[in-house]
Amino acid sequence: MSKHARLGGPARLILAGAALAFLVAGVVSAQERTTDQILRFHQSRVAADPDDPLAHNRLAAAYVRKARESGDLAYYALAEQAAQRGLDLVASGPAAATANTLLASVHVARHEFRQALSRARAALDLNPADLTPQAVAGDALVELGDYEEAARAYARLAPLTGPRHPTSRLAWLRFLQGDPPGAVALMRSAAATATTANPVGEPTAWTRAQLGALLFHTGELNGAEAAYRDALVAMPRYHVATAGLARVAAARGRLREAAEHYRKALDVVPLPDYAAALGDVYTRLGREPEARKQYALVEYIGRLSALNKTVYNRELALFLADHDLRLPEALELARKELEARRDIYTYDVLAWALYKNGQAHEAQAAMSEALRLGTQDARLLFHAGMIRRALGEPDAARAALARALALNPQFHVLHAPVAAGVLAELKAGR
Amino acid sequence: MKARIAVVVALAMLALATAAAHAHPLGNFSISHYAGLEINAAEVTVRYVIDMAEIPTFQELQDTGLVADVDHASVKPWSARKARALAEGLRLEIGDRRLPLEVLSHETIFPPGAGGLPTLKLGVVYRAALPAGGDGSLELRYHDENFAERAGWKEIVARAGAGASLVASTAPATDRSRELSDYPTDLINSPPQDLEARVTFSRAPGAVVAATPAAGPPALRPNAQAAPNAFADLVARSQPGVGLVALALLTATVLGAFHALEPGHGKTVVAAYLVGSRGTAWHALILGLVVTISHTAGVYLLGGVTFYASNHVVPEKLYPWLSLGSGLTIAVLGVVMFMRRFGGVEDHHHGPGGHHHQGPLGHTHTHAHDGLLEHTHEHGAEHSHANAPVSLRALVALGVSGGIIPCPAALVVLLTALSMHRVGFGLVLIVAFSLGLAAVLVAIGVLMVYAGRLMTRFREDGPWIRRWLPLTSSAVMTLLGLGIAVQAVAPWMPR
Repeated sequence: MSKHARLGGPARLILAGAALAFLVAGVVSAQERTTDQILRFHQSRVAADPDDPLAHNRLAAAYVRKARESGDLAYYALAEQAAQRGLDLVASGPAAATANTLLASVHVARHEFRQALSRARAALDLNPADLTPQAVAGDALVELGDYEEAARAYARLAPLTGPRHPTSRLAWLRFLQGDPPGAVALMRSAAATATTANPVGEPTAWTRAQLGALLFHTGELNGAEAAYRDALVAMPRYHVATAGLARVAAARGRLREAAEHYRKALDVVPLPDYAAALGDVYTRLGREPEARKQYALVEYIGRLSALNKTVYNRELALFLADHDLRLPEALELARKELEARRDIYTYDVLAWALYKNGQAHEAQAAMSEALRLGTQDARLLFHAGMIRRALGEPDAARAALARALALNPQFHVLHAPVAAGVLAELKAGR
Repeated sequence: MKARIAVVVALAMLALATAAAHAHPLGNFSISHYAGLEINAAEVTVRYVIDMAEIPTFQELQDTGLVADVDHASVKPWSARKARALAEGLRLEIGDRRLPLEVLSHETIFPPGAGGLPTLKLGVVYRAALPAGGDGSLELRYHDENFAERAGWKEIVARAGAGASLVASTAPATDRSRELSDYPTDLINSPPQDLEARVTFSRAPGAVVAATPAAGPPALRPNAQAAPNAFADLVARSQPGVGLVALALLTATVLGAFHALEPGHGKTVVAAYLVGSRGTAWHALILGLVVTISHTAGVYLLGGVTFYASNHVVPEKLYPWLSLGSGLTIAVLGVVMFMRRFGGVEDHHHGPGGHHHQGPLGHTHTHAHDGLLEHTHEHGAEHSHANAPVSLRALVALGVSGGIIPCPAALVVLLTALSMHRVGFGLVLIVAFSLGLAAVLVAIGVLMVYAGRLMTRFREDGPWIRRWLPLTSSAVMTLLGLGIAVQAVAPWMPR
């Protein structure tokens, strides 16, 4: 009897045990876990091995997921800490690339788009084999208004299949480029892919809610409502979908129902745009005191913390301009936002703030930047029409307003009636 | 008195200064819940605390006209109203019966949050009378329906008070947040999300049914810490202490040393070879180290495969099973070794020791290993190679062939580390283990070279070394393995 044969027994046992463990692990991996369970698991991993960079990266990814699901920006701070710690532990190789990608997505969430871009590029340098950072780079480029470069970044992701294919990102890019039907088709395909990957959970709910938003832009209220309801099936109480239903209800003139949905969304996550929209619904209902409370809440949230001041800066500028509140400040906030990003929506808010401040010519210059892609968004066209009218160009004004109302006759609970009124006025004045 | 006022002012300013820098520890739109259930013979008291961060506080102030100043006239009526309103959302039930909650006391404070903006803490003590009679144990169900969808810390604790004892409880007896004043929020502590509890309790027969608890309001405190930023602490805290690491390393070294004394390892090769070839201390050193290095390498190879796998498979799914697999493997190894050592002393005679000599030098000791040292001493001179020079190559080849196969004991060390999810630390432990092994091997070799006569008295195959040491170690291994396996499956066990 040789030593090899003798020790071969235990060695075989160990191998068999390991093989069994892997086999069972494979079967179990089919089961899904909730974000909180995943979070707790990775917390225990980091606690058990504080020097494991991969564990820190996974914890950071879980926190990013939690932040997305809950809408609570505080989780991004934890994600950043975990990813930064992962990066401190390993400064090169694929693990460092992943940490940089995670940091990049945290920067995007915080509207620090330039840092996001440089982090994403650092990740690509560290591990050229992983294409994931291209997605984050593309997202940052979209916000920075560099749409061609963003399209190139997304194009590099084309070889990926399944949920990692940037279909939903390409859909929004298509929308910005003025092709809403193409965007809807792409988003439908993204929703189908997400559903195949996992019928429940935030990714699927998000994609369906995005489909709802695109359909709303094209005035397909029934389709939008169905998409939002589907999103709620994938993730009950998903605030994005609840707020979407509110918007659809408001567009249909069902204001009480809209208020109810907005209140529900606010109960889960008090986002300033929900409060502003609820305030507008109350205004239409003639419930001024309640509207004022919501408007006060918008400002309160917008100014609550340094992070809120960054993330909700553009919302606050638009809110102030929309409601003719402290207009010089609205303009100041819009200009500040332009330093952070130069996308078409920031130019739109700047144009609107300039218009409200009586600077129609400057507003027109900003508005042409906002419309440089030919985006078919009723809000943009409404703003463009109002600016044209202020410049004394009734034909251009009429065309823009008519286009806005053709896209979605009820694009906004307060602005759509204004657009219709001005359009009628312009037609009468001809 | 003046000094006291100065201190209070200074503390208040400090509180404001820290508050100014941070938001609420659980995010500025969170609403946290705390419920402390105390079950007495005749009644249940619920110490209920609600902690609203900046945004919900703002909404509350807006909606109710409450003024964020504890001395303002609006506070008391608001507290009383809110205490009654919140009671609607608290279900306390025994069987089908919902126990009505009576407000004993309430208190509200407004600790400053981000930028000095107010947050709100409301503490209420509720009381519910328990139905009289009912011997044996009763099950109390608690369900908190207030602000269920809002993010926040949601904690329930349950304790027994006078004249009652808890039989079973889904809620812990101690809290983690000191009644929502000290949130351990960091990277590795998720807020509890408990809104339901079931408590089974029994009452002492004939217990006094009059005991009214001292029903002061919960002592409301502002938050001890502000933003969730305790990461540095965490790393420092969850690192095992230097003492613990040293102890683990020492243990591994000692285990390695013991392991070197156990039969079935390369040390016999070393001993026999050195004695047979009349090697030098230098040869003993080299050979001992080669065996150790190759031995470590063998374990590392296996460990490396596992490490690689654990980093490329989603670990939250892999680890419990890996732990279970490791535990069972260790246990089975322990049983196998135990059986072999317990019943198989004979087997050992022809065991690993006897054939280690096979290999590079081409010579074979065909004799059994019983009394190796005397034997070789007696017959050493007869071996043809006895006087041949010892080449480094031959030494290395011999050491590698003797050490390359990972031995069960070293694997136990590695697998244990693995089950603790500390692979890196496990690899360090293996080095310590192998160093212990090497130290003993080299020592044995050196002793044999220089004090061969002395060593002949050391009966390496005596009953202690050959039987009891392996028996004990294999029994310990079995228990360890079972422990790891049980721990691995514990999360799935019904509680």
